[in-house]
Amino acid sequence: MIGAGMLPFGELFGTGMKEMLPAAMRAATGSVDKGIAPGEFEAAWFGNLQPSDGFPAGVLADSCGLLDIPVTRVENQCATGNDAVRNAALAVGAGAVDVALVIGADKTRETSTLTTFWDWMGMARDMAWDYPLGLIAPASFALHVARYMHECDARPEHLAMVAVKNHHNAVTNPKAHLRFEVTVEQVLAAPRVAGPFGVLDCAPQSDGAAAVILAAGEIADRYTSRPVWVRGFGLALDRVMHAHKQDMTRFPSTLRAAAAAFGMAGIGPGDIDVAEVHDCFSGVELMNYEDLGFCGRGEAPKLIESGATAVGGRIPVNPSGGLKAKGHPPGATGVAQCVELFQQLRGEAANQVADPRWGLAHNVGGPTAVSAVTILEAHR
Amino acid sequence: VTVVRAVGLYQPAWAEAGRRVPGPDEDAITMAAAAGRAALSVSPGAAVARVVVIARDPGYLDGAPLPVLTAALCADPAAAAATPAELRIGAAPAVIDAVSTAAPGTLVIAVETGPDGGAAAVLIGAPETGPPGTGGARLDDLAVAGHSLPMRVRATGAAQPSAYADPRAERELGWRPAIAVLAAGTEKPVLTGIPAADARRLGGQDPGELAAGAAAPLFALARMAEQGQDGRLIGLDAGLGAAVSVSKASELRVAADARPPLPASGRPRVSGAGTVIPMSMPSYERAVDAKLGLVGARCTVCGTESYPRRTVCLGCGTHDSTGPFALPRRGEVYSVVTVHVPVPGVPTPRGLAVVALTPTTVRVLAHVTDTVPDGCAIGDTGDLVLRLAAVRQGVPDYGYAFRPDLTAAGEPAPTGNGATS
Repeated sequence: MIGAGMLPFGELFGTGMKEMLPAAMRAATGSVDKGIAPGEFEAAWFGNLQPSDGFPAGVLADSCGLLDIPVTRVENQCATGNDAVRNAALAVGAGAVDVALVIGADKTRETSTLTTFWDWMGMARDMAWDYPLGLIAPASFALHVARYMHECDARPEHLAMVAVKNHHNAVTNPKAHLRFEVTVEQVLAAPRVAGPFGVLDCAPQSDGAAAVILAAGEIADRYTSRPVWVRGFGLALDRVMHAHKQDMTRFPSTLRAAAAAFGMAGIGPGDIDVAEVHDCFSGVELMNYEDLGFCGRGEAPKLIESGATAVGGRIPVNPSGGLKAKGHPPGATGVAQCVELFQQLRGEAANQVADPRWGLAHNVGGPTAVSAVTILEAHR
Repeated sequence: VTVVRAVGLYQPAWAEAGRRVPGPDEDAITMAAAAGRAALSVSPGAAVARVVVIARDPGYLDGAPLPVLTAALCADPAAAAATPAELRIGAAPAVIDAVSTAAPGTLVIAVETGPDGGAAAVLIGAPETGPPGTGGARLDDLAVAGHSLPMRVRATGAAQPSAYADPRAERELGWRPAIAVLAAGTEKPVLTGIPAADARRLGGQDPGELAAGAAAPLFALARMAEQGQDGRLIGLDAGLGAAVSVSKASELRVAADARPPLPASGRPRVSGAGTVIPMSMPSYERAVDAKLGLVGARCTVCGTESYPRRTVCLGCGTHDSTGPFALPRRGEVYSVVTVHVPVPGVPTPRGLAVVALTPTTVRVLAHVTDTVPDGCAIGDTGDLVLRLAAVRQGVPDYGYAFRPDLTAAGEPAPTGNGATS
């Protein structure tokens, strides 16, 4: 990874998809130490969940002036961003492409808040069985977290601690959507959304775009003397209907994706120095701690209580503010996690973790049925 | 003589000013299904040959989803589809007439969807069925009395009836002469279909706390059965009356599906701007038999159960290896949350639960119904009941909702959303 950049996430009413994509590409090219011209890209992958202003791959090629290279749109629900990175990494690793552009972008605020649920859910739920029941995203995840809390003795305060931590991190991240502190009391007193989640337990609906540039290892030094290395990745699925999920206290897709990524990188969870994980809802971050191996089964409440996942802790999680506070334009989210890790592993992050070597990015999404994990290593 | 083997009663859980009112996921079809299932629950071995539904306001004229009702009443989807069902518009007299003239095997279901809502179903038996003393109530001597000038008229599309502004004239000119004919000399007939105060003034028996409208005479019949009381049963409407003599009332089996009232102010409701929820008819059509009939699938190779049916077995991966089996209609909550935010087309606050249908390994995702918000917790047991899940592009989409059992004290389960329990 030779470059990475992103737009500030937020309600970007004044910026359409055709403006966001070139701006994200410039943010990434601008970070390449020795410079890069768009003409050097040999292929591009576009992580995008919901098309905006038309045919996604064409909008990217047209708006960025990349008409001479293949552009492939990747859609894999909330794992879209890290899956786009994975596809580009496969092409580069296979030797088919020397320099690849990955952009992730979505405009969740392009439709009204009331209909966005339905515009997007039609893709993500069984039309006959689950969709008519109104299984909106917060309810879908809340069914997992409610069972997790029941079995693992997690309290609402533990969920709130995740929101407090990630909001705190976002305050000092200029790219974050929600840059304000919250308290445990405020989170617990916020209007209820679904199950154990109140408004302050939920990620915002954000617009945003992020980009990374991958290059073959042999030529990386043409662009920078301190690249970040893609060492492992995994993508995995699970049963799509909640009725078919045997143990809802875990996300089996995360277990599978993490096993693949750790196996490829040749490291284990204990090696990770900084992680960006999928905290679309506060309690999901707790479940991720366990699924990713940062702590044992049922130990996530203790881990968040201990401060280990704060910046400065044993395993800082979501120093960017996470989805919870940095924001969540789904196609951009995973790519933006890699942007954060790129900066962390080069010592350039807004909330810098002390001298990290290994970084991990993670998404879980759709009907809690797809996960992607990317493992990056600092240049040494 | 018509023999009535069993009567099933259903009253909605919600109440407003002391009167039961349907929940937002109930309509004539779901209430009829509840009453029909109650009647069949005390009619072992009974086969339903025909279903007749009678309501003042059925909610449907064209496109009445009667196949949904037969699917809910018959275990076998093929039998359900082949069971004739008809919808009649009428009130108390129409019900007495329908019951008295129905052939054995007919399930007559009367529904009231307004205030004092409820439904009652009777299963008509053959005169010779059953051991002595268990054959059912006998109904005979049907009489009807018309009246040329109805004093209470609700025109098509009108929300409220237009009434002649003199209740005393309605009682004395409309009902008293009809009762004189219909009572056929009987002292103290049971009068239904009119307000209880009018029934007492007109020399009838107070029929007790009843569902109104079409359901009233069958609720009264159930009360006669429970009290072992024979007599003349009269049903009145604005312009019509019908009566029948009831004997051997004590032989009638009664089953009631009713719960302590919950304040109707707490009913979930649709809020926010109206949004049309898309519907895919082909998708619905592929699902409907399994959905309405609660038909699970079991692998003939390894025995793994699934719902809905899958091409590839969850257990052994064999393709197209499953056969159907009937799912239990009771279950235990594996996880549950209350959705508080407005969801287009779905009344909120609304519980959503993953329910394990023990002893099978099947779980279902279902709305939680007939509870206050957060009135259902992990581990609760309860029933799957037919409800209206949503209206999609104008098409009613029915499915099974989870209704938690009441506690021993007759109260809904203690509050808790699983997070704090």
